[in-house]
Amino acid sequence: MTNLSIIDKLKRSKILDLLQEGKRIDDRALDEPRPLVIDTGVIPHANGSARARLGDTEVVSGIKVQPDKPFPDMGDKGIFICTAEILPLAHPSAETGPPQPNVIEIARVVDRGIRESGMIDLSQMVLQKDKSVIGVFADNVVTDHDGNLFDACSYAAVAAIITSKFQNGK
Amino acid sequence: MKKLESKKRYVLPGDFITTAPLRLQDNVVLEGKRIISTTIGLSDVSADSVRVISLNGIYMPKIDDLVIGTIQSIFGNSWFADINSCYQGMLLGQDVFGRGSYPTTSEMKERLDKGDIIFARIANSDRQREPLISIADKNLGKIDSGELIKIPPTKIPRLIGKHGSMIQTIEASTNATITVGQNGFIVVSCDETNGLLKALAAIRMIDEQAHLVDLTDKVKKMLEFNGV
Amino acid sequence: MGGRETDVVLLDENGIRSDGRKVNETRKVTIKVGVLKNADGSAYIEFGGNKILAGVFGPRDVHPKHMSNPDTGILRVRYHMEPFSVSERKNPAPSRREIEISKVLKEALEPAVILEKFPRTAIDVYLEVLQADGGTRCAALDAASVALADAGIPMRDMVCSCAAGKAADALILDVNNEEDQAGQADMPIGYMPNFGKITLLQLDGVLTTDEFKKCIELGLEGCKQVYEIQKNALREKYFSSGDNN
Repeated sequence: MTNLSIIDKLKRSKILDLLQEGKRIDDRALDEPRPLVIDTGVIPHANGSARARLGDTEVVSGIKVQPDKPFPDMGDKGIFICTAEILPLAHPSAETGPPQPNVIEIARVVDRGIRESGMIDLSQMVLQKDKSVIGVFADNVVTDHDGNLFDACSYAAVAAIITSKFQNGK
Repeated sequence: MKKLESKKRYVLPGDFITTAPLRLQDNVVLEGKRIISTTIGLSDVSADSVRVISLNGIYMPKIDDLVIGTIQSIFGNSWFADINSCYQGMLLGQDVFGRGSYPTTSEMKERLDKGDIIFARIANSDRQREPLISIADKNLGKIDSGELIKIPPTKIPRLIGKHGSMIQTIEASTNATITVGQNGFIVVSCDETNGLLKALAAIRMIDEQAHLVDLTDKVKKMLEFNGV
Repeated sequence: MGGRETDVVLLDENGIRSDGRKVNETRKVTIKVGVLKNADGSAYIEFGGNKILAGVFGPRDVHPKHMSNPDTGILRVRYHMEPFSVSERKNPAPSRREIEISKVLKEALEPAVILEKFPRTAIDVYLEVLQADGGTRCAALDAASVALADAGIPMRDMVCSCAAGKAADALILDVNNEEDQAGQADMPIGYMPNFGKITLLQLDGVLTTDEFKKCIELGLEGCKQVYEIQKNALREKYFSSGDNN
């Protein structure tokens, strides 16, 4: 998201004034998050899915699990790929085209969170060493952008992954 | 269905209104002999004309309308403001610095910068280019305090009321000063938080129920109630 | 399309289709209006197993400027499928199929939208397929028309859409995914119901001239049914007595 809309000066000074008093423009405490709602199984045809609503930010995450070729130097590990896209309908300044650097960053941060946690054991996803492995794709699409995409995408992706069903219903 | 003011009918785009040979006003088109609605709204058929009062949609600039805008950019010798339309309002440097002046960008920035809110008049609106706005009159110019909110421009007449009656009622009962732009932008300022919140609530109520009967009574009742 | 071999019985001896429908029945359709906060207008449609989100922005500035038209607004439509919307994960980059569908949907909406009112601007329609189940372009067109109305874009008519086709030698209404794969014809139709004009017509498969005429009649019946659903969805948001923001 390169250029968000310009906030008018009155609102801007109101936000700053409130912050001086430890208050926020939507009446939340400084350490209070917005309401979070996560629905899983919203895309039944996918292996797993979830929709996370964090305030007015909304992200849909879909998990696809399918056979794939392993990476050349990692024939004994399955594949996990995490993508993110801010859909053009999510915000007036969202553009079409390949993902911008800030969105790629979101995808990679969400990826690392999931990967490093070990919730997906890539070594258990090998069908035939060096030839065929299982690929897990977590594709996150932002349908409404009202800030904090890092958290919203993570919530959606993780919820989708842990409720995923693979071919033998695991 | 909500109860409507008399003789108005809910319509959707494409809905047929009448075949009577009436003068066409807002949001209707003539196809053959049929007059159809082009938006979601209320059809309003009178003796000699027909229109649809749209329930949504952007503001279309009209000469002499008073509007509120937010400065978005400075380019050449002009400021460009968001006026809740598909076109930005263009405010000439000359309007502020005087005829024949060529202010520098930093001079212009000092007077009005990105994010500043202005109360302006639509000075010219031809369809070839951006509408011209002006703040040259006495009660126009930068708005220094208050809260900027937005309602669909089609509901502004209801907010103002007959001869300003509705807006005066709200101001009197809350001690707020309300600057209303015909483009749907409104600035509310009040020294007391209570008054501010009440005024905002009254405006929200009008937004939600603009075309219903007995709205005036409902608003009065809400303002009289001492809680928030 | 291509009459692929299938174990699925497309039409049994009682005239019932693989998903329990009769030949002239559409799948279940639901439409919700105004589902997005940022878009100027929006709609979400479920048409059988299809789940599609439509968002509209505009009229608004066109960048780059040379793409704008001094005499009229332009309509831009992007039909896009999410990677998880189909059985084999799809690459997020636009495919030729998506580009073609974007084009025909734009052409299906243009006759309805009064673009002349907004010279030098663009109206952007974004259609995101979250889940695909045969007939996505029709469902997307249905959602697009509702989202445009929700955005307050003036239109001379709504556009409604449904597909008709042929499977197991019978003419059927609203072709689902299996029927699309294994059937004999699939014909998406887009229609302006008050004008009585067709704005989208594509055919994949083989129909005789007579079948073609009957198929159009059948398809238009489906379009009109969806039109009622579009209208009710808009009425529910704008005219109902419930408090909805």
